[in-house]
Amino acid sequence: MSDEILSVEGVSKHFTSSVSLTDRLFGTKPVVNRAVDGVNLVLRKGETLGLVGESGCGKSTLARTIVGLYRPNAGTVRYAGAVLPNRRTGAQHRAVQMVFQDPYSSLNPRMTVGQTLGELLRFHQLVPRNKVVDRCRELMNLVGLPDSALAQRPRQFSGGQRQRIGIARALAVEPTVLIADEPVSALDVSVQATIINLLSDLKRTLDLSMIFVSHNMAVVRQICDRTSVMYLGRIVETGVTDAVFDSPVHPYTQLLLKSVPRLGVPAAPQGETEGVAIDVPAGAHPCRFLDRCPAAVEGCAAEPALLPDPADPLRAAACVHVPWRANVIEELA
Amino acid sequence: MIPPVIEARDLHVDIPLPHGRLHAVRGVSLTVAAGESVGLVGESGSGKSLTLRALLGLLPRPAKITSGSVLIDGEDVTGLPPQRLRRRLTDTMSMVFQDSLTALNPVMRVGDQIAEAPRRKLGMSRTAARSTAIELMAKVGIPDPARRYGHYPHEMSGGMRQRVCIAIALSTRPRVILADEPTTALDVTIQARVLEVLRRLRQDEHVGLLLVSHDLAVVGQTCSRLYVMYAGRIVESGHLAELTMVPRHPYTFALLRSVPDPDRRVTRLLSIPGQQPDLRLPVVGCSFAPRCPFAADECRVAEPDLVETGERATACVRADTADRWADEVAVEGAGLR
Repeated sequence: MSDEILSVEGVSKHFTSSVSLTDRLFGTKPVVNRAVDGVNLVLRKGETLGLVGESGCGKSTLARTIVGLYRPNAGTVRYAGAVLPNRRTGAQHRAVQMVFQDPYSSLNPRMTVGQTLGELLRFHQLVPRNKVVDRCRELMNLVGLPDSALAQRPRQFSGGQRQRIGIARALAVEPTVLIADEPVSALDVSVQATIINLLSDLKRTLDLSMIFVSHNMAVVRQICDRTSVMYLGRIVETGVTDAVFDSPVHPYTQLLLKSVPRLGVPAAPQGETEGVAIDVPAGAHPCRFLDRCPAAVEGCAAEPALLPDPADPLRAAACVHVPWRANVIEELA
Repeated sequence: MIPPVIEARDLHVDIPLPHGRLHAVRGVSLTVAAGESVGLVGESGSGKSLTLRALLGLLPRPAKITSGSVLIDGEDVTGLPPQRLRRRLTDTMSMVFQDSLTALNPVMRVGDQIAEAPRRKLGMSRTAARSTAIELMAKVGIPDPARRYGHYPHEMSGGMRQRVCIAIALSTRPRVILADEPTTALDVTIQARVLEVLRRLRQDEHVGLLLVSHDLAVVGQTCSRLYVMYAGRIVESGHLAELTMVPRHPYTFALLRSVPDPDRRVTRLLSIPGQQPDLRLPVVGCSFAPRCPFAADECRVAEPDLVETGERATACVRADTADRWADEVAVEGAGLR
């Protein structure tokens, strides 16, 4: 599609535990953690794509792979049609920027905000040297902080203000794609709303495209146009946000949505879903959700592929129970 | 009304600083009855955790209670000699902390940690304590408790560890459990299960619950009565439904409208500008006035008292204008249905 700005094709990122030499001599094999395992994503120009899942599902690893903090074991990330190499050029680095969860540990505590931003602007030679200070002021204005903030150090700010600085730092190099990794999770509820509003305003005024990584379903519903749900390194369901939230088809998405606390609504009692015991032949790769799934059947012994909905090109899910599965099989026959 | 098991009356907690002091809790009164679930919400720094710790005499040094009293079954226990006070407090209540990994002893089997209090405090034999521990583990929903008894904390997942902590809290047969953000570190699916364990305990065992959280939805789902705390004071309290349908303090009002709703998208969330006042300095006027969208001149003169009307209480001089607030800010309400 022509309006694709960023695409992720078959990306995998595996981490291998280190094994000491003596252990290796005795034949201990390193443990491989498939944090991200063959993920495809497309980000269109001007949209916000939500990436949700529980801790350990690989959503942050994927975000870090997209910005180039990790090298993928397999697959490619494309920006505006061109494959991003392992060593990105300055322009490629600038195009895709990240907002981190904890702005405090992602800012240099010994530098003032003005120094941090000025260093970036000078290194990338984005503005003439005599205009650096003006541009810093402009950035502060953009994220709603006073000019005086430039002379202060990160520890002098509150959590919400620090996140504004984190956003200003990402915006300083004029990116077109913003990857926000849990940008509001560390903040108080009242401050959360301010940062969410700021991000959606900036997205509109600066014409940004955004991938928003979060475990908070309510926040994702609020700001994302499309949502992809991840489970153990795979995308299990994707679609337009309202469709995914209003009629989830994957049992994991359904479980997530059922578990979200709602004000004044007593939660539906949750049984300990041990799942149904399914015989898995040795060497087979069963569905990753199998041991927690309340709807497991014999067909789950083989890992289902992400199956697109023929009626909705944006929608897809990886489950044997997907309602549009029958139609797809019919079409193939 | 059921008489409360524990009650705090006008509790003040100070943290001495090298220059001056931080007045962290400024006159908090609250009650918890048997079998009742009460929520205490507020943002970080509002003093909610310190209030909870003050109730159980677990204030971190150098914070201390400067005035006010804690009552158990209507009897003031603050004057008791230290050992008897501790006995009285720990007989009545126990606590569940946010971070289960640091709350548990890493080099002791979880079962033994649960059996410790029944052995020492209730004087049970080794075997009786063991079977009590296994029983408690089953009660809080730990599958295969007899095998899990011998596990160490690092061998368990976060949700299981938090259940162990709840089992430890239950092992002294308390009448009230104080829970400080018990599910904040957990994933949503696990959070739902832990909250259900707490809910079941209240129903089946008639254990009272005082739940502290910054998450309005978590508290709103679990509790029947709410206290909203801001800058060391309770600014509003009442039954959940009334409080969330018609908030009568602007802070509660704003808090409800700043929380996104998982079931529908709103055009814009209400953001609360600014931050809490510095409690090292004396507070002049209403502590929320600088951030309040409805503040008038009268709000900046004196700090409003918590005025009780029936089972509701509000500390706002403009509470009578509450029905017009929604029109004034013209922001769609999330969390209100």
